[in-house]
Amino acid sequence: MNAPSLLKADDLSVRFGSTDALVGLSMEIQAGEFVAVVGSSGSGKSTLLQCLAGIVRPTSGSVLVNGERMERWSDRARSEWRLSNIGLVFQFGDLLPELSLLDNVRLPLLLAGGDVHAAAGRANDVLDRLGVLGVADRRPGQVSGGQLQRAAVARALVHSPAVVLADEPTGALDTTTGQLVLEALLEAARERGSAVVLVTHEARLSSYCDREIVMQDGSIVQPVAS
Amino acid sequence: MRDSALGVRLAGAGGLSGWLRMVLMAAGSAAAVVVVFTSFGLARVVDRQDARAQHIAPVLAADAGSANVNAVLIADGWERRELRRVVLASDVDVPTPPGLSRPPSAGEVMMSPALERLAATEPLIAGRFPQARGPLIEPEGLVAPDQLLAYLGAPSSEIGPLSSVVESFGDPSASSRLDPRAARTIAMLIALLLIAPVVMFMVVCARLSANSRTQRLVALRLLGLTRRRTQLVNASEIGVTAAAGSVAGLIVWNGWLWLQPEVRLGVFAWYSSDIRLPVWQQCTIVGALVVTSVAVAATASRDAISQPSRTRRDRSSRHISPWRLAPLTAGAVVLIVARVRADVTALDDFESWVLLFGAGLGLTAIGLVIAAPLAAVFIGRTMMRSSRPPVLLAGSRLRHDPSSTSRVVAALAVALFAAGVAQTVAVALDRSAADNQHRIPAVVNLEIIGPATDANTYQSLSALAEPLASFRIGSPGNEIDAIAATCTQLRAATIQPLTDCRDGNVQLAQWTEPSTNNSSDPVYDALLAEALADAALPSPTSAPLEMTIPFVDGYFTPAVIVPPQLAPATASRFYIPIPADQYDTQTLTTALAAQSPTAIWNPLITQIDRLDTARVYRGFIAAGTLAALMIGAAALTIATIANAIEHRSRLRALAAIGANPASIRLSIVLQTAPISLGLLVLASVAALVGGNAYLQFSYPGSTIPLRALSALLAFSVAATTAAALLAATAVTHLNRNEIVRQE
Repeated sequence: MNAPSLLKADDLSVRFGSTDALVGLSMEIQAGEFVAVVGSSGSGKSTLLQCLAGIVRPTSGSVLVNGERMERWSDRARSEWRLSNIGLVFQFGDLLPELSLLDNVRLPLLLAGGDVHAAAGRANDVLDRLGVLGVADRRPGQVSGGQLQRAAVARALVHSPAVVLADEPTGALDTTTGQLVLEALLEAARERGSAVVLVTHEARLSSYCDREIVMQDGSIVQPVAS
Repeated sequence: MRDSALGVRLAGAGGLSGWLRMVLMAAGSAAAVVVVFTSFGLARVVDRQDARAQHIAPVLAADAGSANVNAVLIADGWERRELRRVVLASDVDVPTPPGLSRPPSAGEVMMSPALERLAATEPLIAGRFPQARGPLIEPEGLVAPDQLLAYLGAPSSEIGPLSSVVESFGDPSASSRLDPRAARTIAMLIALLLIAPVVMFMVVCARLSANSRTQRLVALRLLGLTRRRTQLVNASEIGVTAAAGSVAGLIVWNGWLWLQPEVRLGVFAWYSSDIRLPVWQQCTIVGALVVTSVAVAATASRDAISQPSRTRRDRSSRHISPWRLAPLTAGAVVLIVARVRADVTALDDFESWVLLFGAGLGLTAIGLVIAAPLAAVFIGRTMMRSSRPPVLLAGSRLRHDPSSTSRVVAALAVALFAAGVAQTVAVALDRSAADNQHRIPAVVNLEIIGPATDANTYQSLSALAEPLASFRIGSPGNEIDAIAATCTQLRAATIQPLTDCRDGNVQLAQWTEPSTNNSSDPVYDALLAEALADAALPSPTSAPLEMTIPFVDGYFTPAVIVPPQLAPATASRFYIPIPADQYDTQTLTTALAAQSPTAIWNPLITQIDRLDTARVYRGFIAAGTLAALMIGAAALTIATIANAIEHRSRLRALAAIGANPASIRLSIVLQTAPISLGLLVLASVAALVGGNAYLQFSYPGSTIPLRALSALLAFSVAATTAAALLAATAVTHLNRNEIVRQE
């Protein structure tokens, strides 16, 4: 772990009203590494992920991106950085229900100013890689949960982000489907050299990752190298 | 992809639901365009018609000698519509009236197309125009396509003494046909009746499927779109739909006017060119409506875009501030102040009172909308105390999603408020018309001013008694009215018994009001004596008679009563007593016009104006009320359907845990009915306060039209009940498995 960190949380604290979601948390993400963040519900995993993505501003502490303090960036700068460098996967996909899977997957490329046809080509590639090309023209409400999550993974990976932040991506799936989705996510990320931060409350899934961070009450209680 | 292109793409995306949502939003914008265009168009019609009324108004010579007279202007009526006849001398120079290529020759009549059509079907009208028909008057010479106007040619020898010298046509000083005070009140009501519900309607349409859109915007923000770009996507989505609907409305409106050269709305008719707005105004209105829609959507989505994470976590976290009650409270206070001021303010302080009243109405209308979510929260909290699942569910929905539930009925509440206030204004108009009606006494004297000098010419008009001939005596500038009549004639024509009347004597007459006794002034007495001497009449020998002659628009008291055998043969004014119940203006006008086309009589000139004004305004109010309620009902229906579509998944979840369909339907009805009823009752109370303020100012002592208000409230409640049942049925239907699977 001597490579410079891609993302670094430094003494990060987040407070929502009277609730401390994160308390003085510090961690680093290296390029290309897979990190599992595990912990019980309410331990602050999702808040950590949203801080790393620049969605939630920390109450104190910093998130450093290549050494720059993210909280000093404007909302616009954080959004643009997220669009180019981060792939997000949520438990329920959070795809736009009005668009087809193909349109959803190529959306990050198009929003970043990419060519329409090139974006469609890359989206088709990723969808094919994840085994959902056959339903690419369907809308999210017209496919199964597993297909939906694969499409969500495809959307997170299509622009080859530096980091994929996945918040319980298999939480709504059965074990077999969840395992397939996770394997597809990790393989595709590995091919693109993307780092992956996988938030899960299922300890068994952490075996797929390079290291595991265990959280409790907003703090890391057991950083373990795998 | 450009952000705007994404917004456009999202506008109609999402299958059947997406298309339905887009069509509803577009239909809302189209309807708004038509309503606003029509409202502004009506104002333009009034302006254009006033301008044309001035264009065709004759310019009369200020100081013309009787030798130069060339025209008689006669205004009478047909079924409360004004029928104007202009008799032009055919043997002297007269200006050519607008809309004609030449003046009419002797014995020729040139009619407006509407008058010609009427004459073809109404024998009484045809009888008024026995002359030869000339060319029709072109539109440039008419105020409106339904105007009844005729130019007649007659020898100047038939032109009577009260005729005029018409120098030209196009009098810029001709007064507006509308009473400016009443017009201002009506304009305010139209704004309240139409603009307020239309704006609410657009708000409802712009916020259709708001929760789905919020979900989309949050997803885009999480993906990495900046606030500005997300707002652009949002604005494009709403803007393109509103623009498409507005353009559709624009095409429908212009197409309709293009196909119809004349527009008829009930008893009203206009030239299409009068109601058609200039292109720049159309563009401005469409732009303003689109911008309004976008602004509404942008404002409502502000929280979701600036705090996507929080919105995603808890969509019901939006705080409803108690300050939302402030505009409604302020509006009610202003209306109460207007009510109190009505007691202490003189009528000549009309301007400031109208401003106060208008501000109160505007604040109250806006306040109703703004306070609606607060009412939903209050009702929701109350319902959540119940342990019955349907009530609890409905309460929870009201508590956590107050905006979308209260938005359903907000437009109808504003429409109800506006319609209620308008009905009280209509009460004032009805009172005005009634006041005019009861002034007509049992015997009405037909007053004729004509060239004939023999009273017997007009005998055939009434079998009641001989006509009274009136003439003027005295030097020019100091003339005094005298009447040639026997006591029998006088008794038939006046409202007093005239027991002191003495036939064969010259008698003085005096107004029945002592304060206006015209025989006690020494200067007047001197003038009277001089006038009697000039006319070679003997001095009065008995006490003055208290008498008044009622005619259609007032009362007349001559100065002197002269026995017919002593009267000079210069009478040009005649009073013909006719029983009021036999006073048929149509028959009388026809008979008189056939007998002496250039004679002027006063059928109901002032009353026509008053009654027509009341009728026009009553028509505006009735049409506005209907339009407002239709807009409100349309908003209610659209929002109900959209809500039903949007909340299907939530209801499916309820069904999945075993809730029976009846409970689900009941919860849907309960989440609509109490807030609707509450808001509608609130709107009715506000209308009572506003209406009471107006009546207190315009007609103190008038009672609020409770029956009309109750009918409006009943209609609104029935509409919301129907909407709630429709929603319950629609949800049950849309949740059928085969439909869910298809989608």
